Amino acid sequence: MRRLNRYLIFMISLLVILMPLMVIIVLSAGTNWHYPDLWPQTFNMNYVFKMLFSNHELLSSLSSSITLAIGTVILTLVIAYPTAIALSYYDFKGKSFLNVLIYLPLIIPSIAVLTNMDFVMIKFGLEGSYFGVVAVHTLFALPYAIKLLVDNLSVLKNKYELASLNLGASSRQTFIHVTLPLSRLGLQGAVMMSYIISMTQYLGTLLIGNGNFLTLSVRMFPFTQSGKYQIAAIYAIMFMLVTLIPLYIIDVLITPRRKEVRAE
Amino acid sequence: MTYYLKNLSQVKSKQKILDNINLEIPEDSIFAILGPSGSGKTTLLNILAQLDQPSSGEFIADDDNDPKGIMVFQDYRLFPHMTVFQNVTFGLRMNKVNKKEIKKRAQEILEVTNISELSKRYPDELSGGQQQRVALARALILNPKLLLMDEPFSSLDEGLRKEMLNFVKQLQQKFHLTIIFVTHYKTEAYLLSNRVGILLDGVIKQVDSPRDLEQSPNSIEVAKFLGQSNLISGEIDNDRFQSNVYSGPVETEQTEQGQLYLPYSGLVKIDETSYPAFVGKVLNKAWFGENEQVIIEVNGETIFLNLPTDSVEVDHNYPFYFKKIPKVF
Amino acid sequence: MLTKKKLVLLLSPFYLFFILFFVSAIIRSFITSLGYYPILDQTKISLNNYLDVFHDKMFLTICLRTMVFAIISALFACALGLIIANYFNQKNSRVSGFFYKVSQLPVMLPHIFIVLALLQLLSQTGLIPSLLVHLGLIKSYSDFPLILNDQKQIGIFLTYLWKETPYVIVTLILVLRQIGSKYQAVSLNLGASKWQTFWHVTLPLVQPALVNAFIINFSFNFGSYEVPFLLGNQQKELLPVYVYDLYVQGDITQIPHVMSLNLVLSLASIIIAAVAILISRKLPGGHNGGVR
Repeated sequence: MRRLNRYLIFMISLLVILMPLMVIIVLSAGTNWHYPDLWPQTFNMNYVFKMLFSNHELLSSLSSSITLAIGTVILTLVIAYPTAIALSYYDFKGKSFLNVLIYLPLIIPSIAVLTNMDFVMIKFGLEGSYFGVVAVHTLFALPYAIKLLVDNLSVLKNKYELASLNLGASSRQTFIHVTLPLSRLGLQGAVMMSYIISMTQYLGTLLIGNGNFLTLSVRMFPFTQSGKYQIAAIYAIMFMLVTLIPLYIIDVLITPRRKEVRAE
Repeated sequence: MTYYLKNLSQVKSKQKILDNINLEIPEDSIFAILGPSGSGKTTLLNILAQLDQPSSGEFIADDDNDPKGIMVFQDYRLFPHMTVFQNVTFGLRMNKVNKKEIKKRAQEILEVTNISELSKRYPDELSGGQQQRVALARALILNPKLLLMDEPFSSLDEGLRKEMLNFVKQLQQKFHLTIIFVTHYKTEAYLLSNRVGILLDGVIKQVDSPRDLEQSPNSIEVAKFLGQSNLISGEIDNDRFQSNVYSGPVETEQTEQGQLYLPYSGLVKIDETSYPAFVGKVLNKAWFGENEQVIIEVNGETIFLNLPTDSVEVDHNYPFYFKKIPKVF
Repeated sequence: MLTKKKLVLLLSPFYLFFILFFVSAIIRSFITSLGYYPILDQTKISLNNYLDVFHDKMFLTICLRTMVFAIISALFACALGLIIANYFNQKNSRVSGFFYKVSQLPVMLPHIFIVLALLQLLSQTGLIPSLLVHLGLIKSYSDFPLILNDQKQIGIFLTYLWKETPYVIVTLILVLRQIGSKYQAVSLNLGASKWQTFWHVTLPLVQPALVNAFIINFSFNFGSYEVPFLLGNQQKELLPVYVYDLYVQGDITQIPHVMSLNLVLSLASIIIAAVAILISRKLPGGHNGGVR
């Protein structure tokens, strides 16, 4: 009885989590799906594939999504990695202040952050530019990336770096042979998280991008709003293809081979 | 109240962790279980603490069919979110004892364990020794009949370890506790307890006083685990042993080959007895108090012995004697 | 060794970026909100815009409504996430490992996914009303209550719940794994019941992480635009939509007013986050910011 209960709760949770994805998959291929049908009258897989691989609008959305995401990942790492090293290895004045500052973009309402930023981007002449949008995405990715890296780095502290320096390695050698390999898990998490955050941004992309960057998640909006659910669903499928599959591959291919680095 | 472990076995994922443990532990005593890490010590304690169910066998007491030991954990496991006072009174609070009573008992126990002035601190503000006192107080406040201790002193430094050892001994006498504790430190077990059980690979190999364990281990596994002994290979012919070091009468159950058990202390003497052992040359010696560790060469083999300080000199040959007929495993 | 030069080197990317884009944006909007707006030849500094904000009945109503809504939906996500994470943490590790992986899915997908699915499922001509009609439980779709774009914000609530509960689950499972079962073992050995162990041991240990998740969820619910835009109700507007409409409607004279709204909202959010953290510090488990 107890087992059955557990099984039931597990299945219900699973169903609730996965339901939207199933609906989207059926939506994307179903044609002539009208009230009160519980199931599409016909499925047209050819249409889905044609859209996915040859629709000009969709492919251009895909390319702006990916180019923005790559830019965001790079800029986020360049900023987050040294910050995380400082936060987890050293004690310095203003550390707790910095710890609060990092989370501000998550605490302040995003509508306020975005309108304020848009205002300043216009002033800088960055509104509508690639760098402007990447900067907005980075601002929201930074708290997560820094947190993931700090969690990873502060487990080990800098004791291995000290050992390496003591054994005669230069700072550069220590960084390449000790710090970098030890923080691989944290870096992997930071890359994945900033990629996802960039891919899922809507208002920031639209407002700061001034409509120049119609990414997958941006384009899904007008389709959803105007009831073109099937096209929106096909965009959603493309979104999943380019986020879930690469992340799954990273997770499966890299995870088993990694040496777990643990504190004693 | 005597406690009995009857045919206790524990199997986890097809691996036998405890194999048919039978023990009888009298009340108001300290019983030590000595074994290397991975021998099943903690598994055994977890069963006695009812944190785990054995796959077969039972743990009972004279007038209690389901006894439960209160555990002091190796890493203390003080709740990090509670003050010392909250930690110590946890068990009473959970059992809904009234507040007045809790306060009274806490005061007593904090005084006994000498941590009254720490009561408002959090665990991360305490030293190792203080943490252990809190862990002890947290268990003792429940007036346990049976107290379990998992490697209680292993994370303390030398001086503190001696102090805590004596402290636990005093507590035992004061509260007439029955204590079962496990350790992998021989000296800890010997200092705290008169009865020590040797646990190797999930089997209780021997239960004896420290002295008997050292002088007559009942198997080569026990002898090897206790360390501090030389084992010399040789052949056996009608209770006579043949080897490079010693040839002569031995006590043995082996018939063809065996290993002569020569503990560092107790068996081999420089004073003459009726059991001549061997003649050896002293190569080196190192002082540690009353005794010296002496390295002796006998027929190309090296032997370690603990002898009274200054009884031999380096580079001299001496005849050595056995106190009694030696044992061969 | 940490030299001053090294520290400056390590921290300068962050500070440079942050000051350039974030801090300067806040300062600029603060100056503008005080009435200094040279484009319109306004250079007189005053607090008028702020006074206006506090006399703006419409804004205050919307602000309060949004805040209550944001707190309630964040609390629901936290409670549900706590229950589920704790429930599956006790099970064998393979089930919880699988569940952990599945829970990461909603965290990785944008809100528009769940909005799309909800529209297909719950709008009056959606799948669930259809199912109910087929089953004969309701006569026609018009008998089905309005759940999306309704005045009670149920659609937005469901969307946030679907996105945020898994986030809470993922966060808590990580913390619970880190704590392990050792303190639970002590508690049970000292005679506490399972429920007492949860209430007095597990909950205080995860409490700081739970409060952090609450703050992040609250701030998102309070300030994010896209979901209220798609699933909100025009009569019961939510704040982000209100602010965005004011900002983009093109009336440049409104900009100082919008900026003052922004700063009031930011301050409100920071205060609520600070209060949540203070409460967390005072609660059992908060004395050193939780398990590290």
